[in-house]
Amino acid sequence: LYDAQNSETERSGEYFAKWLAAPRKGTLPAIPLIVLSRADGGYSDADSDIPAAQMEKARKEGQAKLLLLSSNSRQVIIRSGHNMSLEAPDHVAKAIREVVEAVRRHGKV
Amino acid sequence: VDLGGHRLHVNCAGKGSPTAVVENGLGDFSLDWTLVQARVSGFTRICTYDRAGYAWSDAGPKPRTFAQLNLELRDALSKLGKRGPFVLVGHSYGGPVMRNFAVIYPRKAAGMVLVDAAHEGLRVGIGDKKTIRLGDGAKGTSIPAPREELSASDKPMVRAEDLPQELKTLDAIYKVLPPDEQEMHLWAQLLPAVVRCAK
Repeated sequence: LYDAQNSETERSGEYFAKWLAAPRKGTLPAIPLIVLSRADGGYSDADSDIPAAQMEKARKEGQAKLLLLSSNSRQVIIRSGHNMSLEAPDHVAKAIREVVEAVRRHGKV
Repeated sequence: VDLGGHRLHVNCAGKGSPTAVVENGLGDFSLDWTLVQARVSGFTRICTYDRAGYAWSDAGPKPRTFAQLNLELRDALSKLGKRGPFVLVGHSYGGPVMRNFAVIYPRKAAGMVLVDAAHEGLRVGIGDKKTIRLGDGAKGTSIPAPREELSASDKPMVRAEDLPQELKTLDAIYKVLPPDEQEMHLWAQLLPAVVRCAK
């Protein structure tokens, strides 16, 4: 884990920089997309040298931008921490179901 | 699945189409999706897997770029006879990995679920109260073409004593898993110290 994870972290920066530099709107095929976002970032002023409000703003803006990747998208905000597969498995399964059904009927999510 | 020199652990359950495929967050394992997999397998097929170097999967070619992960996942699914298109599910770091998959292999992408996924504009802590925007973390290295063959330099170089302390105990968030899965999670966290490499 540790060795692979280090390489994964180190090598993601190039992609993120490229994606941040150019608008990603519509870069995915127009596939059904559900964006699950946690309701509250849970940041604290004590944890970092920039205000928690600024961390939260960046997080919320990022989640909103993910919606633009496909023209067939919807955001669902969940009261959960970051690890939704553990903390909110019902919500995650429901979102997968909605996308699966949209694919089956060639419809909107 | 043997990818020709290194094996990837893929765990599929349920019947139906499209198949959902899960890309884990950093440091997470297929078994962390036990609860979701049990629910989704009631209405379609769902495959979880461990990226190379994680849990039951052998270490894979380096560097571990998104394109490298995408190639391995595509190959593994093909070898299992799963041609897609898939519903791509990406959690945290797995979100951008799946975005890249859909860009590289658009015909394999039928739908997508992003589960509290990382975005390039997200600010994350990097220790000592410092934060960085993910999109500002480039190191100026080029992204090499992905490889299917393993080479000698791909072997993990981590020794047991290099492991950070937090990997030696199980975080409280995993306590919702069944006891066996909790035990396997801790075992898998410690794995790089117990190097298994196919070559």
